[in-house]
Amino acid sequence: MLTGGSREDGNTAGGRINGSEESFLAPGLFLLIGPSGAGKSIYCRQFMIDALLSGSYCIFLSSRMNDRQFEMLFPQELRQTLAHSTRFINPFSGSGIGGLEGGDMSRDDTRLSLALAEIKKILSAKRAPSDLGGRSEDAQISTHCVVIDSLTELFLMFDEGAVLKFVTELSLLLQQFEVTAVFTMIISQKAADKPNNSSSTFSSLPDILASIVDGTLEMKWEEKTDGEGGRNGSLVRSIRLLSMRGYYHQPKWVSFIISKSGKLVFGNSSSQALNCTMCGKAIKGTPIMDSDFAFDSLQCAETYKKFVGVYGSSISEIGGLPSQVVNVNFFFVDIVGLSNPALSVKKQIEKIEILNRLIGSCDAFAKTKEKKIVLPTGDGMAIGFFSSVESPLILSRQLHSKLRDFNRNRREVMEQDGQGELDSSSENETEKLGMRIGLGSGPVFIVSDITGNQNIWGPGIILARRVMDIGDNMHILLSGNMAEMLTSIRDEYKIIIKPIGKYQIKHGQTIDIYSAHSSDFGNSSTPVKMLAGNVK
Amino acid sequence: MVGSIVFHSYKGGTGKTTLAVNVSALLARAGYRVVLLDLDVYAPTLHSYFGIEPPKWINDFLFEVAEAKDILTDVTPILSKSAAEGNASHENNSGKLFVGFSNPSKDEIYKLEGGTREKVQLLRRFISLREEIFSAINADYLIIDTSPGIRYWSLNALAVANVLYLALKAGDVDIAGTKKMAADIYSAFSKFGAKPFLILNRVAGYCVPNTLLQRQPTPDHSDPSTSSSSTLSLIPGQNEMSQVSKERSAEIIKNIGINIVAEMPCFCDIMFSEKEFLTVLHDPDHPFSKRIGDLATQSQRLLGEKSSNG
Repeated sequence: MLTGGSREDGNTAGGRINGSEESFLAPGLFLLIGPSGAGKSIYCRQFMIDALLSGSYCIFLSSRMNDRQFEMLFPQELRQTLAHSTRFINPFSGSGIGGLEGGDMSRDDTRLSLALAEIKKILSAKRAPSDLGGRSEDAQISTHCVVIDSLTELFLMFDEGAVLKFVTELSLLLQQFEVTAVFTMIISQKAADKPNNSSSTFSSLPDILASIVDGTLEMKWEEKTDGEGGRNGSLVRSIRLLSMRGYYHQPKWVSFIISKSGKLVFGNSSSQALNCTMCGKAIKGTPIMDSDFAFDSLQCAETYKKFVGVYGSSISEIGGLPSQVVNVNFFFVDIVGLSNPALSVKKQIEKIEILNRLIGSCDAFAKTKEKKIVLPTGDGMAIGFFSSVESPLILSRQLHSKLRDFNRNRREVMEQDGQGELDSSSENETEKLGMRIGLGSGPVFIVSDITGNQNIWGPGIILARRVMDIGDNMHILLSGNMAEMLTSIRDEYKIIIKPIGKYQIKHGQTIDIYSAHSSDFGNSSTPVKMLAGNVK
Repeated sequence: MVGSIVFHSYKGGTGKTTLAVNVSALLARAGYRVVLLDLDVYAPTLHSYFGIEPPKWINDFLFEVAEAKDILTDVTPILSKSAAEGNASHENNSGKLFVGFSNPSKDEIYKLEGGTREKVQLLRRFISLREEIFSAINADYLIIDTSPGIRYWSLNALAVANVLYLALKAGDVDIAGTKKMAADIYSAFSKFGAKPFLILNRVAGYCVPNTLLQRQPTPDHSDPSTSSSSTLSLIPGQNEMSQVSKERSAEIIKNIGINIVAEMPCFCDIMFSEKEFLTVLHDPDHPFSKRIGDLATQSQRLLGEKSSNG
């Protein structure tokens, strides 16, 4: 599989893609981009399986999975060999990373630095076992593969600057070894269409990352037609080597399917079925590519642009966006002060567990029959409610009530234990649980991840995260669209939800910020970030 | 060169269907393979215009129960009959006119207004219809008659067309609405190659009353009292008074921002006739026919000249 992607003609149909059993990708670092559902994770899985079967050592980094989930990626016959041929690293949970005790795991850059150090240690040991005291069998390993699936999740869970620093340093590290590495990243069609105007953080990141890596692979999917222009409901996934540093090539799409066993099966490139985004016909000859869509004629490409001009980006449904696009109402929370250097890892974990427990005890979470999805983010979580725009706010109020009770009880316990006022010392300050909440509403794409679990991604969740990031302890901040929806539903919301101004977030985008507060919940003060600037 | 033309308007009653049918008929009689689609899906009229109840409708194609060839009716014999009655002389018999009719059934119209997902599927099917009309039917021209205003299927028709004819009467309300539509909608299409033009039709104050027209027997008929054996034409020496003043034209162009391709007077005999039917063939010397002839010629020029020998 990608295994071999860099043929002279630059076509990813090289190597296993065109059915041969040629070698893997040449050593180097590859960025694999594409929309959700294109098959990036499946691809990485296949990449690792192929590498293991050829005797390579694999390092897999994910900030979302655990050891068990990693193990389940592989077929039964390979699982027994995983212990000495793979290393799973979760920089967020610390899984697979040694020396945690010495580092400040509350800091994003520390966690990623430790992950980097671990990778370096592994690669060094495999290359020169005698020097570093590695096992003798390591000396037989001549090639390595490194997979990060995905950078998108890293950007979601860690500070953007820390992730970019990590990727840059890792790329420099990998140059010292015989390594083939694949880093995945979601790039939505919308972001691809409007790289300079998108509200997505990730619209410009692929360009930045592309300058770091040796090559960029691109994946996409389209709904299959029956050859008569009709739709038959199945997907056609394709991959191509978009760019390769150092030599000229002409990118060509190669279609593949994912078999029931989870394997990638590449068809003969000459018979690949690429269909026109606009009319649905199978494309004969060279497709006309525009905005990541394939067309069979200039007329279809122009017609597509006309539709986008009239209907807006919603017409993208014709093209490459995942089929399930829904509007979700988000509750985004994180623990304030979790990166306080005075806080031990044990205390951090304890606080995360308390937050989980408090949220779990709220009726708005525990007893609602509304469809929802929970995405842990490490120091907090995002909860998406699929129906009610009120649910995130109701949950916020209930959570604040629980939180005040919790902090009050803890203070009383400490006072009884003779530990003094809770807020009188920095030591006791660390005992308090603080949080900030961001609420937002917007479209997301529903995708199935590699483990078959439902996952979501899109502008809606990013907006909620941005809104939360503006707040301080006990703030419940809302995006403008969510505030407007809520205040139009109930008069009481007009009393508790107040506009606090506009705020410029990344990429120059300005958003309206509202704050929900009363004597029982929220924080009536203006967020420090808004006082400090960036306010329009 | 193949291409498509759509007849659209901001308001109803601007004569889109009359213009579309007569231009199509002239192009077919000039030797081209022409497909005329009734995409006025909310108020279809072409089936009653031709008096045809087709076995399959455009709707059947969109819902994937019929192929393109099944929904197109060859009305060339009807053209030939009308031309014979009008003693039309300039024709190339190799031309064809196929018409795709839209189903006027209430339920079928409702079905076209499905949910977003269904609409997108129907749209893709419509795009493929355009492709088949040119690739499988080998049409030279696709002419589309649409619904007035900013509606889903009107916009779809506009998006697939190379030339957009926007018919309007010269009333202030019509101009104001057309101006807004041009700014909101047409600009998106013209940005990607579509050519929009205004057709001033039934221009108030520029009437050609019946008294200026004379009915003459066709050479093969002796009874001038019946329309089937005579043709209408302007009485020699009479002025049809059809020119919109240059000042008014300039004002409209400036106001809407789109050039005028044709100015059609209000011909009283057509306006108040029981039914206009292929006037260009039946009354080839009628001043209306002359105007349509000019419009057809302009259309050919706009889409690129093409050999008419087949």
